[in-house]
Amino acid sequence: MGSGKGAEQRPTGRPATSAYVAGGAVLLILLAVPMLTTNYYILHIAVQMFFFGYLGQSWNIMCGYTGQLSFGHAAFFGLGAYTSTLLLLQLGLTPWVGMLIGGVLAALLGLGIGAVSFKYGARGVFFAFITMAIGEILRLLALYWDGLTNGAEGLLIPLAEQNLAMLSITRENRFSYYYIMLGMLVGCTLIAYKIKRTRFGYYLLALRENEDAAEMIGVDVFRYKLSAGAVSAFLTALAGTFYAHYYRHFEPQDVFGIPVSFNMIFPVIIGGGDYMLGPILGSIILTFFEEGSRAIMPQTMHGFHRILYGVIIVLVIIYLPNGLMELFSRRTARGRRKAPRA
Amino acid sequence: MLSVENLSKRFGGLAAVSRLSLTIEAGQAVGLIGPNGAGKTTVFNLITGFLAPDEGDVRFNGRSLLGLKPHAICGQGISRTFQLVKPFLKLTILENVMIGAFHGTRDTARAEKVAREVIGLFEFRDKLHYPAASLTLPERKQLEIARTLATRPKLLLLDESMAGLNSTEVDQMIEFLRRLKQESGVTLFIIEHVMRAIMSVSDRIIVIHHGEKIAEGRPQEIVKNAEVIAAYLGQGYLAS
Amino acid sequence: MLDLFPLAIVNGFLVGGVYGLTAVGLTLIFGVMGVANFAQGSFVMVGMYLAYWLFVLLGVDPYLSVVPAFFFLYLIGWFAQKYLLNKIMDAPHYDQFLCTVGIMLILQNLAVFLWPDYRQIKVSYQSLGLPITPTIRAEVVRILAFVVAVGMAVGLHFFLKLTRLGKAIRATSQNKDGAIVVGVDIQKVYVLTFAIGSACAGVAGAIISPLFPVSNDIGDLFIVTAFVIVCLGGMGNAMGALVGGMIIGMAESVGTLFIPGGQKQLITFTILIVILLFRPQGLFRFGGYWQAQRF
Repeated sequence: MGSGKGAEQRPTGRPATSAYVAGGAVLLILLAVPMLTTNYYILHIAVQMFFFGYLGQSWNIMCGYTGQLSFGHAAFFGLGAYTSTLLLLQLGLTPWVGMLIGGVLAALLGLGIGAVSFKYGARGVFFAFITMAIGEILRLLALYWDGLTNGAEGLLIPLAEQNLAMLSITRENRFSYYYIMLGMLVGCTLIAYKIKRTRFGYYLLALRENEDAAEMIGVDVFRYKLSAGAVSAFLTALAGTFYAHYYRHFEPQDVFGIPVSFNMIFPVIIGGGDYMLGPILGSIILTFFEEGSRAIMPQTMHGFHRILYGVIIVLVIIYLPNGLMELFSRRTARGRRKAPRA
Repeated sequence: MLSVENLSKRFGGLAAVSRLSLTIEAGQAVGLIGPNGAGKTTVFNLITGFLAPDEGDVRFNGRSLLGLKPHAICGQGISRTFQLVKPFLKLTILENVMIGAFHGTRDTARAEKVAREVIGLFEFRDKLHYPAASLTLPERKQLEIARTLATRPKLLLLDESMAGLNSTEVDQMIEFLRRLKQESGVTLFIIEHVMRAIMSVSDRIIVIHHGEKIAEGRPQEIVKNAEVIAAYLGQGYLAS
Repeated sequence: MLDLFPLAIVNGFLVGGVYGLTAVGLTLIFGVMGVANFAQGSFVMVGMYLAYWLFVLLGVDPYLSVVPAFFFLYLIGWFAQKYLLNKIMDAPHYDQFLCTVGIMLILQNLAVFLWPDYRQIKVSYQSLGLPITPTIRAEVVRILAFVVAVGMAVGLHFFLKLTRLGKAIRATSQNKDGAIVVGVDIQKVYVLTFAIGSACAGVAGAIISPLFPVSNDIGDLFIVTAFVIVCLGGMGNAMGALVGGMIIGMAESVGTLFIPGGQKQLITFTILIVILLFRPQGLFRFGGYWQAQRF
């Protein structure tokens, strides 16, 4: 049993020193990339990979760890995007602060949804659809509350405003976005890691497995579910602000739409939510397919990469339900689907 | 330590528990027996906060437990096992017990230490990193007890922990419970159907039938009690 | 405004029959297997496209296309369950749900890929109307859609009640282990159920094609509506789904009179949340074919 003897000496779950070294090396390389190339396309792809890895990681904090799947995380994403942008446009508030405010609002929304849903015992598919409905309600509100959100036209962040706000980082220079997103990804992964190693994470795992048993050994199931939801919502909203500034224009469908929610989930399914790097791996694969198919297919043919997504998802769920990361991991993941033959 | 006063619970028209009163002193082992459907697990559920009583009170060291959620009751020092075991299947044995150990500390390393100590008392101490799903039923029952013990309870409620065990395994369990009571000073409140187990472990036995207490006393007295015999076997078995 | 009311009710009622049929398929799958089939909307879309192409290329009337639509979607559902979903029936519910999401992605984006714009079927009798009452005229296409939808639902009802296969399906939904013990081949029942459920969607698509634009994202509308109906009627409750469909159809139709365009969806979603929170077992007390409500 690979996980038997060697793991006895080490405290549970901590990776070997070699993993730290490898991780550090990768990080150094990533930091160096923008210095080595000025190809905006490469930087853009990298940002995509970081972006979806981040979203997957933050979604996973609530859904992977607690087992309560949310199909409406776009609600938090869009809330972040709209809040910080509106504060910027109306009040001139710097997005660095607006981002945090958006995050707090999203966390409050997450707490609200969780509190009401869990109080009434909504689980599984029911909870998933409630979250989806909330996402759609916010989208419709953004669409029809013209006075506030400019409706279907969406919001535009003018270049001048942005220079001022983001401390003269221009849009043409993908450079800084690269570092910001990389930083966010590393930060989010560290947060997820920290959670997993502490009591918080263990309690979440417990309540995912069996809520009654967890309650009986002292886990305040309600409180922990809500906490995970709030953290996840906050982090997701931050990415919404990033999106707003990266693309400088967005409409309700772009930030609140159902595809946005699904885009956060795919990396986790494909990469594997029980692994630290799973969502990142998933994100890399999905971005690869998206950009790859865009390169191969003529401009007029849309949707091809999403057909591939569908195929990959179906295949992964059937044949590798723990995610592709399982192929790379020699250690038994916490929460493997099948027990090893004893 | 624990006192239950006039506890009642109805489900629809059926009285599952009816004006039940009992007390348990610290350091004792008290057995709860009764025919199937007598309401034993319901009593456990009422004490541990999974159900709210219609009437009556449950007090632990003077403090009322009514209205507290199960995790808070665990915080008071009461823990229980379930009749149908509920292991955290995808987690390893160590992780299962650690979750219990976390009740006493926030620190992961400390929790692991406590968990390893507790696991050391059990047979599966070599299987630390096996997922709980790979355990046999008796092992899972033991895991459940280990997990509960890791919370360092003052009062431990065991719900039919011997169901499904064979003769040898029952003997092992009896021995284990005896040692547990002596060495760690945990107070035990046990629901059991395996008679010889409860006879040999308990200091006192309470018998309930149709949700009411029909007898209470030392094991030897209970066996001879006419009402108890009638409840289990029917009137015809009473020696006239 | 108010004089449009009766017509709105009638139109909504008739269209609601088709919504109901889609929901019946969905609730059948959910009731028997516990699978929330997110691809149901895209199955409707496939039915619509099939009817469209048969109409454009061969001049086949959409209402006759129900037959090929039934069989084509039956085949797709059969394939999906037998080779994909059956492998993961023991996995947690969300795995099966996500698998159907994957299927939806494939179907929907295949349509995006092949037919990026939207089309419309117009049959020769499109504008024909029949007087229901002295003052109200309902379009023939709506009436036909309703008749076929309800007919199919009723047919399904008798199939489930009277035939051996139907009884096997009901048995499986009520008690899976019990059904196994008496010799029911569960895997086959699953395949049959999913295939029938998909076929319902296909038929719904065919008969509604003269009324809705044939577009690659029409599935989104249908899956959402179908799901609201299933929750309204009770998961697994087929009669409830049909009746719920008519209710939603009427609510939507009347709602359009007072609230512009997409905003009425706000109401639909709010209703959905309220139901899921406070009465997840649905509004109706009668249990339909099966009592086993799986949450």
